[in-house]
Amino acid sequence: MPASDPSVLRFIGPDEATRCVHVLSVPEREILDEINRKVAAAQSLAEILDFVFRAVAKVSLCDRLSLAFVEEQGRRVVSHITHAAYQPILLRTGYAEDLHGSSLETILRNGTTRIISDLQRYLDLRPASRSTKTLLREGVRSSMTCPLRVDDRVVGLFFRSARQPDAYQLNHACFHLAMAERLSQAVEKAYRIERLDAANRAYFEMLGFVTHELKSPVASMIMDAQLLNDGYLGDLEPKQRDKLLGLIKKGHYLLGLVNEYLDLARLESGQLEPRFRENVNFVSEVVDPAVDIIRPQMDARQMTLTRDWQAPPHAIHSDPQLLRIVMVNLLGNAVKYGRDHGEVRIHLAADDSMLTASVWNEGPGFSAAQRHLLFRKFSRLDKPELRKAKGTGVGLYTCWRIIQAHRGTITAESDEGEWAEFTFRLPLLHGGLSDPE
Amino acid sequence: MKDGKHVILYIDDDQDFLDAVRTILESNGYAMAEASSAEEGLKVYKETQPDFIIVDLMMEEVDAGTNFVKELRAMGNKSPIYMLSSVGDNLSISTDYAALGLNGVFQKPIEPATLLSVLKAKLK
Repeated sequence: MPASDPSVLRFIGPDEATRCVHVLSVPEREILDEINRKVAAAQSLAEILDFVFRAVAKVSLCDRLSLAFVEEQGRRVVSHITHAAYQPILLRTGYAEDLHGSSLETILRNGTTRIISDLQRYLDLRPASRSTKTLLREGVRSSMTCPLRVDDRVVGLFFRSARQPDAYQLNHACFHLAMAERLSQAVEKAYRIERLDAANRAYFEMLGFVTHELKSPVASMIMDAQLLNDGYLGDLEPKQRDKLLGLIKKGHYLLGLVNEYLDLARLESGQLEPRFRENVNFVSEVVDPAVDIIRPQMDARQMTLTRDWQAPPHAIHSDPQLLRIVMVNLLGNAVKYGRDHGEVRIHLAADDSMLTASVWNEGPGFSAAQRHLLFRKFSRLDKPELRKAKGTGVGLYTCWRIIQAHRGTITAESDEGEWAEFTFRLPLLHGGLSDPE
Repeated sequence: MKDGKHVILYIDDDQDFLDAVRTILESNGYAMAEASSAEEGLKVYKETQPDFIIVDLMMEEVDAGTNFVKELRAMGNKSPIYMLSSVGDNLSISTDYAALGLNGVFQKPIEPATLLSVLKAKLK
C-alpha cells in the first residue's frame, strides 16, 4: 500500500474546503450560527464544545470530538478537551505527542484537513503511531482533523471521529473546517488562560525549588567564611579578613533574598494558607521569636530596640507562624533601612476588637508618593539612600498578603529623612482579648 | 561530661554544618557527638548522655526533628535542647516550639559567638 493511499489517508487543502461551503446542510448552518452566538456571548470553550458534540452527533456520524493545543512552537500537541459517546476514553486530556514525523505536521504546515478513512489500515502505514493504536482500542475507525488558526498561527487541532470506517467525505471536512474557524476565538482565549496559569505555576514551582536548594549551601558558605574570619582555621592577614567580611555580608544578603522568595513562592502556590489558632500569645509567639531572629543584625549595626506596650495584648485568634513572618520582615526592614546606632521601636496596643502592632525606625523613610508602591509585588523604592540596602520587593507584599488573610490592614507612615513606621491592625475575633494562662 | 569536657550532641543531615560546628566546639574545650538522622541521634544520645543538644528540625525526613525532641522528653531528658532554624523554616513547622520543650533557637548559619555565649550560660 503506498504511503499516500487516498482510500486511507487524504488531505484537503484549505481552498478546496472553503470552496465547498455551499454544500452545507441547513442543520449544519444552524450549528455554525449557534457557535457564533456562543462565542460572541463569551461562553467557555468547554461549554461550546459540549454543545457542538451533542449537536453534530444529531446531524451526522460523530462518536468522538476533541480539541488539542499545539505547544512548543509546533513541536508537540496536547489533548485539551474530549467528548465521546462511549466509555472508556483512553486518549485523555493531557495526552501529549511530538508532531515531528506525524501526519499532523502536514496539517499544521499547510493548513489542510486530514481525513483518515480507515484507522486500522492507517496504522499499517504508520505502525509507530501511539495515538492511532490508542484510538483503535477505543473503537475509533475513521477520523477527521483540521487546524485551529488564530491570526495565521495554528494554535490547536480539532478532531472528529467515528467508530465505523469511511465516515467522512469532502462535505464533512468542509463543515468541520467551518466549525473550527468559528471556534478559534474561544480556543485562543482558553489557550491563553491555560498558558498563563501554567506559566505562573511553573514560575513559582521553580522559584520554590531554586530557593530551597540554594538555602543550605549559602548558609554553609557563610558559616565557613565566619570560621575562617574568626581564626578557627589559622591566622589571617587583615586584608584577608576584610575580604571574608565582604563574603559574609554578601552571603547574608543572598540568604535574605532566598528566604523572601521562598516565602513568596509558598504563598503563591497556596502552601501558606493560614492555620488559625485560638489564644495565640502575640508577644511570646510572634514578637519574641522574630526579635531573636533579627537581633544579630541589629547588634551588628548597634541599634537599640525599644518595646513599647503597657498591658501586653497577649491572646489573639491568628496563625502565629504567618504573623512571625510579618514581624521578621518588618523588623528586618527596620534594621536594613534604619540608621546605624539608631532606635527601632515595637509598639503594641489593643482595644476591644483590634490589635495594633507597629515597627518604627529612624532612617531615610519614604515620600508620600512612594507609599503606594510599598506593598506591591516586586516593587522597590528607587531612592539613593535605600539603593545600598538591596531588597527583593517581595517582603512587604508577603506581609500584605498575610495580613489580608487575617482580615487585617497594614499601613506605612514616614517623615521622610527622619523615620518610617509600619503598622498592622488585626481583628481579635471571638470577643476580644483572652488570657492564655 | 566526658574527660572533663561538656558533651554537645548535634544532629543535622548536612555534613558541612556538622564539620563547622565541631570546629567551633572543639576549639573551645567542648566535646561533640554527632548524628545525621533523628534515629541515629537517639542512639548517640543514649551512648553519650550529652549536656546540651542542638537539632535541626528541618531535616529531609518530615517531622523527624520534632519527633526526636518528643522522644527525648519521653526519655526524661534534662539537658537543654536548642533547635536550628532559618527564617523561612518557620512556615513549615506546625508545632509550637515552647510546647515541644525547646529551650531556644539558633539561626542557621550559626554565629560562633552566639553559640559559645549560650553554651557558657547554660553549662555552668
